[in-house]
Amino acid sequence: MKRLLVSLMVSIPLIASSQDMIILRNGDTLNCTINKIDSSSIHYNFQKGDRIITSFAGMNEIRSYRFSVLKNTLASPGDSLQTVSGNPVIVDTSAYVRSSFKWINMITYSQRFGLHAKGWSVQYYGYALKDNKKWVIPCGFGLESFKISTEYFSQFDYQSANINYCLAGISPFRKLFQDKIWLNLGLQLIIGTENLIDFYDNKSSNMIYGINPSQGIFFISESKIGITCGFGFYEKLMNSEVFKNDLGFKIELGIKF
Amino acid sequence: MKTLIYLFPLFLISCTVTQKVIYKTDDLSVQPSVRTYPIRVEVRILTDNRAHIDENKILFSDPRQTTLNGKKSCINSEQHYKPDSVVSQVSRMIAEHFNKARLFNLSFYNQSPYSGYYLTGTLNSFYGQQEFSTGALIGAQFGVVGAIATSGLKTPGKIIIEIADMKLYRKDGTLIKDLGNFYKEYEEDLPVDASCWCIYSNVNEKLKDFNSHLVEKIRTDLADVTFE
Repeated sequence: MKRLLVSLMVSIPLIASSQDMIILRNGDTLNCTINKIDSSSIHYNFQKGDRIITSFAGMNEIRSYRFSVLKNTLASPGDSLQTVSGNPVIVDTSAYVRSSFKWINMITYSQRFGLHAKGWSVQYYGYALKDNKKWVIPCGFGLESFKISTEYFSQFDYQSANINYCLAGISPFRKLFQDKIWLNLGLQLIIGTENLIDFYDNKSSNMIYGINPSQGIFFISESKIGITCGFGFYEKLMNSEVFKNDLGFKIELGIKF
Repeated sequence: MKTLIYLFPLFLISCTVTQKVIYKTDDLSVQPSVRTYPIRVEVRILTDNRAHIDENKILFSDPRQTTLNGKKSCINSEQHYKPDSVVSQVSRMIAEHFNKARLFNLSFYNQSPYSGYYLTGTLNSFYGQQEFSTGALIGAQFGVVGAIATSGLKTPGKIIIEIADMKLYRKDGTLIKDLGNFYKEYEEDLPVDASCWCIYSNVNEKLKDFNSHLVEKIRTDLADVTFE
């Protein structure tokens, strides 16, 4: 009787571990018999009541798998069923995740509150969203209008100024949380002209250039069409006669499509 | 009154939407190295055993929008399939998929005088459920724009497909191979809409994946069979 108990105690763990094992990425463990492995999935048999059922799991669902005995089964091209007993095979899931491209368009309106000027801006951003990349670099263009505060403008010896410029640069986004919350860091060059009229009615025209860095946080809807909103700060440094620098806060609202 | 007369037939049409078990097979690619078995096979209409499995009963009793475990959910209710047609539609898709995947020289749906073999099986599950989306419902209140705006929404879902007792016979009734049972449970976020129609297309898409793996299973299982 004692011998029987001892042999049972020895054999039960052996029987229990005589199955192959698949550990899924969601934490589930499947005790099964692996019967086919190919480049994209594993086919296995498992027992449900008195029935043996065949199922499969995609490689992107699997964290690791382990054979209980040496397998040497007829394999199709690309299959691999030979492995050493007991050694777990860790699946590099990233190899099975297909990167996907989505072209995203965004049009935003922003209200800008600077120390020296207030205004608004309309921006277009277009970028290819790759699900496995953290950074996206949009192409874009925009239109902005500022009104320089009278207090700031009065320190210069001009009665009016008309400044036209365009911005060229990059405004990359970095994924912070899922595909929803993004950090936006922009650096744009300012190139344009300014037409000035002084108090003696003398007109002059100057070429202006400068830089316009910005930093912000954006919420971008994950839906195909949705809203986007954000806030941030911007700085301006220019060689203008009447608008040399600015530091401001902006809030931005728009649509993504 | 005039408006009512015109609207009434439209309303009736919207209430009789019939869902089909169908998916695109044009994009199924076949590697040149795959083995094609040199036989012509009928895919006989599967036996429908779904109603005898507890989990499936809700599909036959409830509408597509129902409550599951206290949560408002969408299911692929049987009400919107043509009566008694699910097994024939699934069988038709299997035959079409086999042809696209070049599993056999030729596969026929149901019966054909040109076949030498036939495949039988039992459909135990063709079950789909997913959580209802309040977001999609709100989006739908804003018309087409709202519906488009929420078209990317997904909710957690579960789809179970099982074909049991698959057997390949020669036309004279000789059993060639017992292919056993094939089962897959998908648990993932699935596209959702406000009207619970998406669950039907979600189930169809998973049937496509299921059938792709079914092809691989049969290809492997028949590797040791010699066909005359």
